[in-house]
Amino acid sequence: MRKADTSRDTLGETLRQAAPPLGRADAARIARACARVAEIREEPRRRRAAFAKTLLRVAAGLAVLASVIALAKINKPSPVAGVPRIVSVPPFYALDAWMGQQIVTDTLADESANLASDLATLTTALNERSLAILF
Amino acid sequence: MRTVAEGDANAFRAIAEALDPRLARFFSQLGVPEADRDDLFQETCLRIYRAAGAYNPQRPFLPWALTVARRVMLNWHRAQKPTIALEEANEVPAPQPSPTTGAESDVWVFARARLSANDYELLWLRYGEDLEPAEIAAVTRRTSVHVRVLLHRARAALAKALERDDASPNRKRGDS
Repeated sequence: MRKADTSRDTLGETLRQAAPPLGRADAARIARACARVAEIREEPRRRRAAFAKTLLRVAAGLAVLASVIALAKINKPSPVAGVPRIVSVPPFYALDAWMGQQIVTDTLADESANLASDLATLTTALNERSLAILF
Repeated sequence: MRTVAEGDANAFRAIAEALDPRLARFFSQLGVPEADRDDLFQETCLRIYRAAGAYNPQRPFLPWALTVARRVMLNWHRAQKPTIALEEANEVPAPQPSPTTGAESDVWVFARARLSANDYELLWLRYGEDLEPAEIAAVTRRTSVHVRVLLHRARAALAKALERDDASPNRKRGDS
C-alpha cells in the first residue's frame, strides 16, 4: 500500500482489494464434516431401534408377568357360594361340644342293644342247626 | 437447503464444498488458529445441517451461514483458557505491523492490530465478505443503523491509525 488514502470510499476499496483470496476447498475436511453429519443422521435411527428394543423387552416382561398371574388365579380353588369356609367349621376335637352329647350316647346304646340281640338270635339259630345235624 | 433438511447427503456435500473456503478465510481473518479451524468448520456444518429445516430460502444463504459460523467461533473464543498469567501478560509484546511493509493484505493485519475486535470484525464482514450493512446487522444481531454507525467509527479509527502511521518517524525513516 502506498501512502494511505483515508477517504471513506478509497479506504473501503483498499480493504476490499486487500482481502485475501478464497483458497481451495479442502476435500479431506469436507469428507470429515460429511462423515460427522452422516453419523448424526444415523443417530435418531439408532436411538429409535434401541427404544424399540427396550419397549419390546418391557412388553415381554409384562406378558410373562400377566401369564404367571393368570396361572395363579386359575389354580386357586374358588369358594362355592353357600358352603362355609374351612376355617369357619369348628375343629374335630370340639365335635362333642358342637353336637348334643346325650343324642350320641343314646344312639350308641340302641346300636349295641341291637347288636347283642342279633348275636343272641344268631347263636340260637346256630345251636339249633348244629344239634339237628348231630341228632 | 430444503433437500439437506430432507437428509440428502449430496446436497449437504455441495454446500460444505461451497462453504469450506469461505469459512476457512473467515475463521483465519478473525484470529482462529489453523489447528482449530477444522473443528470449527465441522461444528458449523453440523449446526447448519441441524438448522437446515429452519432456514428461510427467501433470505440469502451466506449471511445465514456466517451467522452460524460466528456463533460457533464466539463459543470457541469463550471456551479458550488464557495460557499466560495475568502478571506476565503485559510483558508479551503485541505485534504492531505496518501496512506499508508488505503485501496489500497487510492492511488487514494492520487493522487487526490497531482496531478493537468488534471494529475489525465489522470491517471484515463489510469489505472482506462484502456483506451489506443490513446483512451484517443480521449476522451480529444489531440494528442496521447501529451497524452503519459502528462501521463509520471503525473506518474513522482505521483512517486515523493509518494517518498516524504515515506521520510516524519510523515511517518517514523507512521512506527515505
